[in-house]
Amino acid sequence: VLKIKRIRLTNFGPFKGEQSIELPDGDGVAIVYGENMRGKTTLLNAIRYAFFGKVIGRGSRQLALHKVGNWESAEAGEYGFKVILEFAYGDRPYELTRHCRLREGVTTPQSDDDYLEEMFLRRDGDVLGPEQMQLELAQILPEKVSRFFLFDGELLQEYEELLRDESDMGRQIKEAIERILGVPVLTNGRADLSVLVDDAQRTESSAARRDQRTREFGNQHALQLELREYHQSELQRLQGELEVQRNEKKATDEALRKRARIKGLLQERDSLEDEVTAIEARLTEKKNARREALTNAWQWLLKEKTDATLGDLQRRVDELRAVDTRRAVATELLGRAEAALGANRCYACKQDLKDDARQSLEGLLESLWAEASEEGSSAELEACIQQLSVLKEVQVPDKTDLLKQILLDIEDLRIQRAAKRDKISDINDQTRNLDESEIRRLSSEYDRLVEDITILESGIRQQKEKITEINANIQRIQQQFDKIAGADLARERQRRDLCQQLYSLLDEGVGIYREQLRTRVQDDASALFRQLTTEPEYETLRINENYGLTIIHQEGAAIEVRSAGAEHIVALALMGALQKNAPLRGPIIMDSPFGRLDRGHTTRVLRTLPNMAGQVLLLVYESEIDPGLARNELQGQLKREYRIQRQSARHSNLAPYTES
Amino acid sequence: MTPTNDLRDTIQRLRQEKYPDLPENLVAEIIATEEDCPENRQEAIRRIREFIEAHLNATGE
Repeated sequence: VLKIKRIRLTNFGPFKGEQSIELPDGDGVAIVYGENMRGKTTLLNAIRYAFFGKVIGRGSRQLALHKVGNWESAEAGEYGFKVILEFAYGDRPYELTRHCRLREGVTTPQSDDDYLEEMFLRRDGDVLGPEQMQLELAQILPEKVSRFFLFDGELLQEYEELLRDESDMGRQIKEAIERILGVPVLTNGRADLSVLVDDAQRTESSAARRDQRTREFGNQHALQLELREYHQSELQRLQGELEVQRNEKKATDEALRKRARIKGLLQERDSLEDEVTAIEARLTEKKNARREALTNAWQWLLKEKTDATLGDLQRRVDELRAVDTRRAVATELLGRAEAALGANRCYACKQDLKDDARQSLEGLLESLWAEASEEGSSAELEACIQQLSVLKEVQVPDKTDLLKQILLDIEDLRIQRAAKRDKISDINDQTRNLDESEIRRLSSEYDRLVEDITILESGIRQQKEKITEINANIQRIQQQFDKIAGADLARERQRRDLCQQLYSLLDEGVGIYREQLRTRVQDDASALFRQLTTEPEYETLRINENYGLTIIHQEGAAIEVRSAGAEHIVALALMGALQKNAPLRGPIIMDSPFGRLDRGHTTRVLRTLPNMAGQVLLLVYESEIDPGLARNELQGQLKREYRIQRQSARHSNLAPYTES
Repeated sequence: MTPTNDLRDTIQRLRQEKYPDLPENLVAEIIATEEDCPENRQEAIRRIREFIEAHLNATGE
C-alpha cells in the first residue's frame, strides 16, 4: 500500500517559496479547500510531477515545464521549482525529489530546453541508483494506473468510454484497469513462457539435428521454427503498427471532437448570416413603406386646416346655392307680378285684377325686388365649388398609426440584426485562427486510419492463422521426435513439455482470472453504487467485457442514458471497486470531484469515501463541499483540513484550515 | 483474501484440476517472479529459466 505522508513544494505554480502539507499517518480523509485559480489542480499536478515528471492541463494536455515555476519568483530572477514527496510503501519510508532547475549559463529561460531535471529516491534514508529507482517507482505507482489514484471530474467522465466497444480510449482504460487488477502478472508470465517454449523447441531442434535418426525431422523442425519466428516478428510489426494507428485514430478522434464544437459554431454562424440577410430584406421593405408613407405625410399635417377650410367652403357653397335659388324664384315672381300689374290681369286665373289683389301684388313687389337683388354671385359659387373639389382631392386617409407601426418594426428589425451580428462577431472571435480546411483534413485522415486499421487487423488475423498452422506442424514433428528418439532427447522433451504446460496453465488462467475479476468488480461497484446514489430504484450495476458499468433499474431495465453526475457516481463506484480488488493500493486524490453532484449525492460520497480507499485527499472549493457538512459526515475520519490562501493572483499559501 | 493471494489461488486451483503434474512450487515461483518484475521482461525470463532448469535437474537426478 502506498501512503503519502507529506508534499513539499518549492516555487511550484502559485505556491511561492517552500510550502508543504502533511497527510495523516493512518487511514482517513484530508481536505484542501481553495477557490478557483488558487492551486488545487497544481497540488494534484505536484504529485504527478514527482512521480512521472509530467504536469497535465485541461484535455489531458501535457504542459511545458517552463511554465510551471512560480511567476513572482521568476520575476525576481528565481527560476525553476521542486517537489519532494515523502511516502511509505509497505513498511518502508521513501522520499522522492524532483527538481527542475536552470541549466548552467542560462539566465533567462525561454523553453523546457533551458532547464535541467534532477531526481532522487531515498529508501530508508539511502539514495537508490537510477536503475533501482526506476524499478521501484514502476512498482510503487506505474504511470499507466495513476488515473485510478489521481483524478478530476474530466478523467471520471472518460469511464463512459468503457461502454463503447469500438472506443480506443475505452481500450486504453481497460488495459489500465487490468493492469491495476494485476492481470499483467499472468499475461506477462504467459508471454515470458512463450519465449521459453520457443527456446526449448530450438534446443530440441538442435539436439535432433545432431542425431542421425532424427536429423531430417530436426531440419524440418528448425525450418518450421524459423518460419514461425518470421511470422511472429511480422505479427509483432503489424501489432506495433496497429497500436500506432489506433493512437493516431484516438488523437484524430479527440481533435475532431474538439472541433465538433467549432464546426457547430461555424454552422451557427452560417445560419445567423442567413437570418441577417433575411432581416435586411425585410428592413428594405419596411424602409420603402416608410418612404411611401412619408411622401403623403405633409397632407396629414395639413388635415386639420383642410378639414376646416372644406367645412367653410361647403357652408359657403350651400349659402350661395340658397341665395341663387331664392333670387331665381324672386326674379320669376317679380316678372309675373309686374306683367300682371301691367296688364291688370291675373297670370294664374286670367281674370282682371281686383283692387285688393292689385294692392297685394304691389305690396309684394318690394320684397321680391329685395330678394331678386340679394348678393351672391354665380362666379363665387363656381369658384367655391372648384376649391372644394381641389381640397377634396388632396384630402387622403390618415396613416399615422401605420407609419408608427412601420417605424416600430424597423427598430425591432435593427435590434434583431444587431444581436445576430454580435453573435456572429463572437463566433468569429472564437474561430479566428481556425483553418476550416483542417476539419476536412482531419475527417479524411480519420477515414484513412479506419481503413488502415481494418487492413492491419486482417493482416494480424492472417499471421495468427499462419502461426497456428505452423504450431500444428511443429507439434506433428515433435511427435515424430518422441517416437524415434526415445530417451536421447528426453531432457529436451521434458523441458519443452514443461514449458508448454506452464504456458497453457497461464493462458487458461488469464481467462478464468479475468472472469472472476469482472464478477468481483461488478459486485463491489454495485455495493458502493447503492451507498453513493440517492435513487433507490437503481438496484445494481452490470459490467461488460471492458469493465464498463451500466446502471440497472430494479425492474431489470438498463439505464442507457445518464447524466454527467450519474457518470461520476458510477465512475467513483468503479474506483472504489478497483481499489478493493487491486494488488496495488494507494491514496485517492480527487480534484473538484463534486462539481456536478447535488447535495444529496455529495453527502453520500463523503460518507462512502472512507470505504473506498485508506487514504483520501480531496481538493475542493468551499461551495463544492461545505466544511460543516464534511465534518459532520466524516466525523473522526476527517484527519486534516487545509486552506489555500490567496496572497496575490500569482501567489498562494497553504495553511491549516480555520473558520473565517 | 488479498487480491494477490486470490490470483495465486486461482492459478494453483487450475493447476490442481488440469495440470496436476506441474509442481506447485514452480508455479508459485513463476508468479512471484512476475509480481517482482512487472517492467523487466529479460530479468523475469532469466529467473523463470533458472527455476525450470533447477526443476529439470531435480527431477532428472
